[in-house]
Amino acid sequence: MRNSRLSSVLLLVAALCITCSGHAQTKAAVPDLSGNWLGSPPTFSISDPSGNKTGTPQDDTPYRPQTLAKLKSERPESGPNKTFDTDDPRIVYCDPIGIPRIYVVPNLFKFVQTPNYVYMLFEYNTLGRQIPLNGQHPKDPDPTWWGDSVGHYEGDTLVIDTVGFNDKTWLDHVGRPHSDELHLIERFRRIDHDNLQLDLTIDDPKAYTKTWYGRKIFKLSQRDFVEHSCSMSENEHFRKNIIAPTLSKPK
Amino acid sequence: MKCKLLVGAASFLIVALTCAPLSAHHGNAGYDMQKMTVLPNAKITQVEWGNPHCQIYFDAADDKGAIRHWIVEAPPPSELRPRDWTRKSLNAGDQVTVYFHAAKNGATVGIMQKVIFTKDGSILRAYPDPK
Repeated sequence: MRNSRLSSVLLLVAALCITCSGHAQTKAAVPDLSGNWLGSPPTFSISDPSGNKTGTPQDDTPYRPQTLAKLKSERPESGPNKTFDTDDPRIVYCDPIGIPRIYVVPNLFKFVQTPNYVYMLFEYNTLGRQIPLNGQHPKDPDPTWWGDSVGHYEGDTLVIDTVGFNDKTWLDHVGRPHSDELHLIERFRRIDHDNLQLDLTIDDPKAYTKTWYGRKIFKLSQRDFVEHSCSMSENEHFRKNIIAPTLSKPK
Repeated sequence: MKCKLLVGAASFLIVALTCAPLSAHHGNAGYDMQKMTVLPNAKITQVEWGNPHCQIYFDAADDKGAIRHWIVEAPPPSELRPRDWTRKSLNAGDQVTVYFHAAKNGATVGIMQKVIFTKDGSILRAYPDPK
């Protein structure tokens, strides 16, 4: 976690330096995605245009049997199977939240666009993500929490292609699993000045029988980042004060 | 001070349909989200401003006049600051009316909706008011 934070700070510094030197070129060449973006409305699942992917076994998400079994075994804090006694690893262990789940938290994110990289800075847990432009994935990437991302522009859209995930994160707060074969495509397009649309393509043949899709709209926010950090010591304090009494036997 | 609270405090429950806060990071399944608990003449005893949630400690009399010690969660600073709620907005010693959803099991914990200051009627909202 400490290394992650340090990396985030270094990323930010590097991004700002590169932005200063290449600003004019960047501004002319690519769509302007600047601003602080906040999900609207707040949701706990990856929505889709049909609005059917609510996280129930009956929705139209193309689960494989073992994926559905894993979903049913999870104890998420949101959705139809929500429980206060959650086993959500991002809560219990401060595990990285991963993508695309980072997009359903009620926190800001922003892009820093440079000629060769796009950086994404997240208010949630003070995170940073580096996306090289017009590059290629390594042939056999190590499985990691955030995967290996490469990006490019298609007209007014930033396309981010990511592979090389581990299978430890959930796709959203409902607890949808994914495998280490997840291939995620994010397409960001500013549909007007105040609205950013994210279209997700979730291709994971080990976990789902076919490719499926999600969509999320973000509003331009007038506020700036406030520190948000997951700390195990603070989590333990909160658990002792609030969670444990709430889970105790009725009085 | 406790005597004043005992004399002046009254507690009651109102039932209201509410919008469940979405952002409690552990969810809200442990709380009675269909019932808003309102405790007037509560005295703030401690405020913890931090993650994963701010925690508000207060004392309030129950319906028999006995003082009970409560701890309720509120969103983290990243969500309260945009609602004009800073770390200095609520302090130990403040007299307020607390609106919150209590734990289903009867424990004296819950999730805050808002507080209203007794002295001037000003409001701090942890979450937007239910529609």
